[in-house]
Amino acid sequence: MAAINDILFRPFWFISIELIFYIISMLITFGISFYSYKVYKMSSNTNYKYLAAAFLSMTAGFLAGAVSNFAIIDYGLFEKISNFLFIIKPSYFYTLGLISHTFFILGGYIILSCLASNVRNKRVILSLLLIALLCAILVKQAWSLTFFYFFSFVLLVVYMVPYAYDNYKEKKSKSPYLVFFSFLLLAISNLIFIGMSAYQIFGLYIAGQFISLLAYIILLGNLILVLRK
Amino acid sequence: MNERRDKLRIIYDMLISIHEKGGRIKPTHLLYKSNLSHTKMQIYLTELFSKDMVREQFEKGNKFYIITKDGIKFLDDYRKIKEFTDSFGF
Repeated sequence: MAAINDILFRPFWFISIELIFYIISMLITFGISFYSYKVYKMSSNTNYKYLAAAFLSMTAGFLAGAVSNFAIIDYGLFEKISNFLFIIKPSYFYTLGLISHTFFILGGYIILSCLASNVRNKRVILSLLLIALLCAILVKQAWSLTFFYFFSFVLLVVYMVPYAYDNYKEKKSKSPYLVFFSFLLLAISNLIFIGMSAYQIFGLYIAGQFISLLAYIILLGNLILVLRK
Repeated sequence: MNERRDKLRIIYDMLISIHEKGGRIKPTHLLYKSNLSHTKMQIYLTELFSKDMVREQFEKGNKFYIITKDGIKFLDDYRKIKEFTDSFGF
């Protein structure tokens, strides 16, 4: 089962910790998606419908990542499921989880970037999503994972981080600052992942995952701040 | 130049006007405080009545608009929504 963990350059002992990270991130992004949808229903502002969709996509990505990791941790369970179903190998759960994780996380960033740059052209959005799908399907090929991290980094650095910073400069309050800082941390984590996949350094991967989790915890902190108002 | 208010903001302004007057207000005072035309105010009032955020009350031949519990809850929700939308800026 360790063999199927071949492409993510992480130590085997980290997989169960990463599973916990994915579950926490999944719950946080679901919470933000839920509240965004509630805001959309009350305000009829369609931007919040898309914001809800973006975070729901990330929720699906983290769920898929968690399934993928779980397939490694409890390989025996997935072997039993595969034997019962006859049709799929246990490693398919891992691969499908990885592909889904890649696609849905990228999908979330793409929707956020389109929101930030006010792109509403459906063809442009569809083209970007198709690139994300291609990246996801090819995730087990050489350098495709690097491209995933690079694509994520570009979307964050070119669209989300500047947008969030401008919003913070305009509003000058705690909540916009927390959102800006969390997107900045997500960009940094993806930059670290690029370095990790290029130079195959385990330590970078672990650092990147910690920073990514911190980013989502800060977003949760912002949501709590809002709800306590 | 006055910023154009969205629907949610107009409803908030109307409800906060009533709330700040001790929970009840005369129609003319609401018209003045909400900064709307009479026709527009009636449109929004119809929505507020339908959502049970405001009700009418008559006292000694005078009509008053009273904010309900749902109206007060909306004021609370609006502040949270405003904070959330400000944090993301969309």
